[in-house]
Amino acid sequence: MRGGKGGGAVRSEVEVDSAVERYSDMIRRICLYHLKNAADTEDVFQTVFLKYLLHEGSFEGPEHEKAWFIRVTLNACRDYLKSFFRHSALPLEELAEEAASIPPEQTEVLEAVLALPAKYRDAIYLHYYEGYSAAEIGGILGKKENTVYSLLGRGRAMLRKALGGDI
Amino acid sequence: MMRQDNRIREAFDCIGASQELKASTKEFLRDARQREAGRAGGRGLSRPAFRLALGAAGAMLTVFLCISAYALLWMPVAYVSIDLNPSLELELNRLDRVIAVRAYNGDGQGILEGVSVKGMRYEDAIESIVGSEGMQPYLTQDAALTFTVATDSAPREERMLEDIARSSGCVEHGGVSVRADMSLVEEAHGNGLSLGKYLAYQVLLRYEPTVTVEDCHEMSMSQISGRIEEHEHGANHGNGHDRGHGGHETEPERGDEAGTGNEMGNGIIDENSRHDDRPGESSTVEPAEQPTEHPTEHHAEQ
Repeated sequence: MRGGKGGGAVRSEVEVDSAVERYSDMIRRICLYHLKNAADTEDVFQTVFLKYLLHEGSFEGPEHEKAWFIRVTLNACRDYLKSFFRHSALPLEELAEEAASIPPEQTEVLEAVLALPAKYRDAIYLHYYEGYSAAEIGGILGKKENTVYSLLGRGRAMLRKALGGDI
Repeated sequence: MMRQDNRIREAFDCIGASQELKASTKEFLRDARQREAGRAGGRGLSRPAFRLALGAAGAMLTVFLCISAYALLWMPVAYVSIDLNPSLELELNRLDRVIAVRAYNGDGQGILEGVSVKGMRYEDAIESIVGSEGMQPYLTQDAALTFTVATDSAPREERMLEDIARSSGCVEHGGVSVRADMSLVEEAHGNGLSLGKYLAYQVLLRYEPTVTVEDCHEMSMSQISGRIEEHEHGANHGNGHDRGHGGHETEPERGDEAGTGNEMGNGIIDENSRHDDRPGESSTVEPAEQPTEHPTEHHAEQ
């Protein structure tokens, strides 16, 4: 993993384009359950990768870099939701934009996840999709491990209730 | 039964960034990189270096402003001692304002308890002190009201001597104004005397080698100047300057006093003598090489 940029130079085009390819899908998913709006997603994309372009620190490895992208994306989404300039969004609007390409069963699961209270979505996504442990999620979200366990348990219960007891 | 985490994973697997979104993001980042490179080139400094330089410049400016403000407002650049029997001394800043006033004997302390002169221009402070109720008992006919000025600036010194000589506090009570070298200030304070009294002590010391600083602590200015006068008259070298009480003040040499013609090799440069018949006429008196020499007068304009 590359070190710091040194001398204040921005990251190379090759390096940034590579990061766009590696992390765009993940950022898109986080934006999906936070923003629900394609226009806002594009703004957050630009914000996150611009921070990466200008980031002067170094990463200890791929996992460190990935966790950095998750944190920056979550913060960008939260900031964007608080922003006066965000686009007006309707619940699940963005999902509706992609509904045609998503099988009905997956749409149902995604809608159930997006319907969770915001504080559960991050833990559910990071654990069930990205495969992070409760301790790692706690590190990324700045929460105690026990808190993460609690979020996961309650979120899981709500999903079971929404999707049926057979899951 | 499909596990919940598998269903969530499969659902989210359906979500991804479109090629258009990736392409627009890359395009945005290319533009951003070019803007950033342009700014960096225009600055000639990297971002951290620029911030560091900016911070350092700001810190230096702050320090400079603080030092300037201190130098202007709080650094003493001139001293004026007022000696009668009460011994007081004013410290002045570059704006001729009093930044500190100290009493060097009990009588002086008594005066200070009745007046507040900090922040005043020195002329006003002198008027306030000399005109104070506590000062009046000391302003007798034979009092030797002496104002002693010390500053590193020759123009300031000249201006202050003349201003003090013309002040009503000096004129009405037949005071004199004398100059002293700045190097004597610390020496005088180290001996617990005001600048003016220390000068008088040094002159008396030339006539009376056994006299001590402690002796002068107990003597009023008129007593010191009276004894000096006695020595001068005793040596049959009247100087023609009747001070009423028979005293005059001399001061140690000011080595850089160019153009005054008052330099002496014995540490005494000049004195202003009082003329009781012409109250308020302040004069600069050339110092004597020996105690028997006659000082010359330099009258301030009235």
